[in-house]
Formats: sequence, structure tokens, C-alpha cells
Amino acid sequence: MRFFMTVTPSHDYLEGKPPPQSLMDAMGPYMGKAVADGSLISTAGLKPLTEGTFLSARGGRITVKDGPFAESKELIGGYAVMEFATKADAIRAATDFINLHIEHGVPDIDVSVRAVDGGYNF
Amino acid sequence: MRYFMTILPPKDVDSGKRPVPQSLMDAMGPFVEKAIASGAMISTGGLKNSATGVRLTGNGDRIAVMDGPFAESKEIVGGYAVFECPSKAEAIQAATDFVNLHIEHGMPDIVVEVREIAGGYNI
Repeated sequence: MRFFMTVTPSHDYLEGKPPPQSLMDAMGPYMGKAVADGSLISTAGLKPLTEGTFLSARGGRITVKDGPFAESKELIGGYAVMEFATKADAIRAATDFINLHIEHGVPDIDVSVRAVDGGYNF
Repeated sequence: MRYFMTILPPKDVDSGKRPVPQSLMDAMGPFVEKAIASGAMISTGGLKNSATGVRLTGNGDRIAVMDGPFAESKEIVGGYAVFECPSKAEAIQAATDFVNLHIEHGMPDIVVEVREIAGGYNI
């Protein structure tokens, strides 16, 4: 099954605070392992929220707003598309990913795990 | 530049109370094909509804695991797309076209967030 995971760090990181160097150093080998075992399909970190744009349609009218989006709570710092046999395996991987952050000085972080229904080149 | 877009549908669509209009589903195939053919769209996925999702929250050194649906959430991601566009203005134009497609086909309330990708693997 294909899973889509979003990573939501605390707001200071979303607005551009750099992650701890030890986390950045640990991320390369961690991702290399996940690529090698076939579970990690693609992943990316996003530029700070302050550089983002939010398009909102309400009743057929579109408003365009530049970031940051103070009223939003669940914003994305990065994402990953992963392949696992079961949802339990996906949750296990998300737990490992959070533990990596906890071990390297980012103890507050959210990960959402969702199954992909269909798409193109995902 | 690579852009990552999240699509946030209305909550009653995510919950299944409001069905996705058939005409929108019919129009999506040709829309996506055109975006791929132009080289703008790299990948996209629609997600199963949030009731089947799980959210893990690290808080200090503890991890809380919560099954969906997430009643307290204002924003639920329904899908995503990775785009290649020469400028942010063109990424916003692509997102506007996508929102307009929804408006034209009976979903006049939808949010799209456009973010530039900093780096990653196989994006």
C-alpha cells in the first residue's frame, strides 16, 4: 500500500528556524536506509511558510494570500510517499521518524499517515 | 523550481457526507493529462479519507497516536501535487486553474496551498 505522510514541526521551524545540525546529519543515512529497503518512494522538505501562497475558494470566489498563515494550525514542513505492506508498518516507520527527531533535539513534531487512493507517478 | 501543493477539500467532502461531483471526477483525467503533457505536473495523489488516517504527535519525549477522523482539525489534506514551474507566479496560476476546475464542476469551496520544495529525494 502507498502512504502519504506529512510532517508538521513547531511554528518556529515552519518559519525558517534551521533544524539542529545533528538532525540534518542523521537524516541522510536514515533516508538512505529507507530508500535501500524500498519503503521510501519520494520525500521533500519545503521552504519556509513565509514564502508560501494560499489560494482559497469560497462560494466560487478565489482569494490569494501570501504566507505565513497565522490562522492555520496544521501546516506542512515536509512530506514523504512510502510503500508498506500494512498500515501498522507505516505507523511503525512514522514512529521511527519521530524518534529520530526526538533524539536529535526536535521533541515536538506531528506526523500524519494517510493512504493514497490513486494518482499519477506517486 | 519545484512546488508542492496540498489540496484541502471541505470537511463534509472528506467525511463522505458530500460526494465529489461526477462531472469533477470526469474533468480531472483530461486536466491531469494536459498538465503532465506540458511537463508542469510531476506527480499527484488523492488520499483516502481522513477517517482511515493516523496522526502521531511527538510531545517532549512521548508519542501519542490518534486514529482519524480528526474532528478538531480545521484543515484536512485531500490530495497533493508536485509541479515544476519556472516561477512562483506560474505555480500560482496552475493552482488557480485547479481551483477553477473545482468551481466549474460544483465544488466552489476548496483551498490549495502552494509551497516551494527546498530539497529531497526522487521529487
